[in-house]
Amino acid sequence: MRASQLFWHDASRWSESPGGLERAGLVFYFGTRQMLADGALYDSLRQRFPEAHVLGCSTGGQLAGTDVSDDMACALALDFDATTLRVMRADIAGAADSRATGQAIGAGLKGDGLAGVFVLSDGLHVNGSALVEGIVDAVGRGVPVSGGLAGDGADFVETLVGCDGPPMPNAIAAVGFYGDAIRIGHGSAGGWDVFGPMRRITRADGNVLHEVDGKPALDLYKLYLGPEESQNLPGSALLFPLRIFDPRHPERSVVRTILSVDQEAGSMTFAGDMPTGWSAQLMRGNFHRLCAGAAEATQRAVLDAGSAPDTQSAAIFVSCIGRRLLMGQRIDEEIEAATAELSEHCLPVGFYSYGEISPDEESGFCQLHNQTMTVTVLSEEAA
Amino acid sequence: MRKLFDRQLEKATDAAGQLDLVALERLVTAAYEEAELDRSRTDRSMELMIGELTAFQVGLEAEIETRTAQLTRSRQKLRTQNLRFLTALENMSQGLAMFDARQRLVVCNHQYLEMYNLPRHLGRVGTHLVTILKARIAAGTSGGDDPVAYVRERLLVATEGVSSSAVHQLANGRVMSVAHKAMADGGWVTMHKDITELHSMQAELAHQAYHDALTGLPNRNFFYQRLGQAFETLGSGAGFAVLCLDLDGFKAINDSMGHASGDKLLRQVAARLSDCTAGAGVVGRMGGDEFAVLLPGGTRDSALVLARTILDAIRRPFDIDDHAVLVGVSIGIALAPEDGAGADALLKSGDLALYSIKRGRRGGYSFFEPGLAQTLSARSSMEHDLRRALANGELELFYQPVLNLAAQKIVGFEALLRWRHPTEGLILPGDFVPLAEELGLIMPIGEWVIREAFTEAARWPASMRIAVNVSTVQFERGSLIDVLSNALAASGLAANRVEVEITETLFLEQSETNLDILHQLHALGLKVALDDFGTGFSALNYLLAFPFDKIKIDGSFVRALDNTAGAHIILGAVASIGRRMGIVTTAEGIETAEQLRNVRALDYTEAQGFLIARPMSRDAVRQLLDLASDPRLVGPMAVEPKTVTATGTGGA
Repeated sequence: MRASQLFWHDASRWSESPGGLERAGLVFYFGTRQMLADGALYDSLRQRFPEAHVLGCSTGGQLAGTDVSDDMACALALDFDATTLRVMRADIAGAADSRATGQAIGAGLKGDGLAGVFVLSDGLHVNGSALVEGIVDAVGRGVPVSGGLAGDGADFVETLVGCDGPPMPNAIAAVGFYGDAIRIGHGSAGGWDVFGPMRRITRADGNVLHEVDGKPALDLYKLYLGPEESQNLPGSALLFPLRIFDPRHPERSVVRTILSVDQEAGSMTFAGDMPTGWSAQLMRGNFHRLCAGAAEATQRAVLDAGSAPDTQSAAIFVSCIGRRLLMGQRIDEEIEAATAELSEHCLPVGFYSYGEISPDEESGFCQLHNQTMTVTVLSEEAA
Repeated sequence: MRKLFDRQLEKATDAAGQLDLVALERLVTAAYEEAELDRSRTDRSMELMIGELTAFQVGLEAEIETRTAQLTRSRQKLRTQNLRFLTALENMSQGLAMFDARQRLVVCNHQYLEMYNLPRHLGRVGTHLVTILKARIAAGTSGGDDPVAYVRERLLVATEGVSSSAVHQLANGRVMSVAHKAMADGGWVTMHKDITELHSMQAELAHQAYHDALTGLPNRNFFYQRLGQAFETLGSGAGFAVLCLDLDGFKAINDSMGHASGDKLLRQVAARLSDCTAGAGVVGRMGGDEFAVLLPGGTRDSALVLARTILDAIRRPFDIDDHAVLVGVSIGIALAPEDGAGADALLKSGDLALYSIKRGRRGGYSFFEPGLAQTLSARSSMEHDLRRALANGELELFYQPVLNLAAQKIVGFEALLRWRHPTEGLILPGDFVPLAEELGLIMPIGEWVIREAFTEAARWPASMRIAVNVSTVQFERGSLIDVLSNALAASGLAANRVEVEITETLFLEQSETNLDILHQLHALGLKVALDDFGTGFSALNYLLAFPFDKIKIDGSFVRALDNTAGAHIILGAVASIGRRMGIVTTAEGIETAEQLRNVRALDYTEAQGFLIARPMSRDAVRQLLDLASDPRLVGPMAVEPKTVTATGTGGA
């Protein structure tokens, strides 16, 4: 496998590092909604790599080297030797269709030698948990699924996803890797600390949370955010993700981040299911622990891929927009800590998302995460 | 922070290495603001969290306080309830014991321990059922005769898990009602009530319901039951007999000696009856002086033997308050199955047989005959008619002249009762007087006869006597003297013109009392005649017992004169006794001139009979007497009775 990084500057063209690829089978690209909206980035990549499957999405910021940038789009071109690919694109009408759409995508990708799936999904109109469950329903638990939900900075207005075409809202793109040569490693870590009393989800409907401990969920967030930061909802709510778990299985907890709020109803829409009766506890970030988490996730992904240090590989970082909102300028430290774990032959690409998809560290089940840094490492065994 | 500043410097430096201070200031200021915001956010979070946790803690403490108060109240309530429960338990009238599924005592009250004479320590929680049952055997308070079987039975009831109730007779004689209630957890509760008194009372009541309180014999109901049972087993073996008994003369004893004595007599009769059956039969008191005997396997022969045994036994004098009392008994016998298909039918047959014997002479026995039922029916009809006969004026008196043989003159008349039945025609006394006696109608009828006869006789010449027949019943009722006195007074008839005719049967019963009445008749100035002499026992000592004024020898002796040699001797002997004792003798039933010659030859004082005159109506008598007063006529022969009767009838 060969890899090459590309960056889009205001000069309206992609700049490549020296020794760029002649051709590529797969290109990932990430940029702000504003950058992607006119389809120019896609068109340019399509011209550059006519044979490649080109998948990309809007973000809450993307990686530019060890920095996080809102001004510069980034892309990663991969040229495989012994790995075949298949891509699926699906439109989704709303969150309620998530599982069925996931099952359709999974069914399209299911096939001999399917070694892994990478998904980029609309970030606002999808129940990420149900989408992943749908894909897993079709491809089976043995196939790792990773990826993320597209972002829209702190605006939460519209997210775009493209697959061999200009990026569009309400779209989902997925690529399947087939064959024995491909090596895919995963890592995921949070680094958030729980605080405050244990609460109970008393009313919820799918991924819409209505009440916690019998009171409107939004009131709780407004209380913690204070009057000023409440103005910035729903983005500011990302500062206080929720750890939720089935009281019968506290060890299988997941972290949920917010996608939107309904001021009138006092409800909040999260990126995944909020089962009624589950326990919930607010979380807050600690800069140092968030950075350590990012490093730990990368370490695991590299180990998991198991490729030799001198082999060409690529790392796709999907990190939560909440982490960036919390850390501000110091978000670079997370990327710095994560990329420090990569060998010099590993090229990173990544973006800040509205949800991360990765196998669970404990159970191995693929699921939607929030407020995490997830890392997918790709390489190919030498022929 | 150094790293951050390095990066800010890097970002503020352009490609040419020129530092943009404005850009740097913007970055640094933004970083300070971010840090400030994060700190204030953290402070706010901490403050809120502390607030929330404090509120939570306060809530928890309040909750704990509330719960503690609740718990205290619950405990207090529980203590009160326990106290109430224990008070209720110890103050209930029944014994109570609760056991768990392992057959160990959970709780019991002192009544339970006391009922079964159990020591206090056995009332402790955890005592095993077997230990308690063993202690009960030792205390003599286990149930039934077999202690082992009792323990086995109680253990079985305990493990069955089914609620039940039973009555246990304890070895010490007490009777316990035990209710066993199974509980859901495999344990059980038993309630024990000492029902010894109730039980014996029930037994006593049951005995009373089926036995006659006076004699202790089975009562009518019980006797019916036994009879019913006898019918149920009839198919499997021989038949049986029922004897219906009625004492004769009991009422008079009751009246004269008092009810207490009557009761004593009934008790002694009951005892003798029981002795007679000697356990082989069932003796029952059916009411009053009526008894019945059921003789299982009884045949005509064995029933006969028993009837005779009973007759003998009852005829022996009873000792009532140091008085020797004689009483008779009549026995009607019915045999099953031929005389009745059920208890009612058989007893009815027995009663019919009894009635038939009572209707005739009293004392003795009679078997049921199929015709008795018809007799009864006829009797019932006659009974109905007789009750109205007096009121309807259907009774009449006929008068038969009595001829003085020496004077050849009619000296008086015997009043004879006739019933002119609207459909049956003229009925003679022999066919309705016994019934009237039985029904008690003889009293008003007898009184009517006396008044009617006296009134009529008062119209006759002063030389003419009137004779009236008086039944034994009229003697027994005790009002005869009053009736006679009143009739004499009302009619103005001289007492010495009246003859009261009695029969020998008067001496069979209550002879002392009756003799006394006879003397009272004499005291009133009445004459007393012994009627139908020679037909009964004809005991000559009657003539010694009372100074009769007249003996009337029965017509059968007169009729026998024609063909029996002995009759002449007997008639002669009676005439001789009369003559020698100064008693007037009358020969009845003279139908031929030969007979009349004979009795005249035998020196009888008077004669009566169809030859002289048939009984005649009141008017015929008046006519006859008018003729007799005619000096031209001498003797009765001039008057043909039929002619007289015809004339009398025609004159009426």
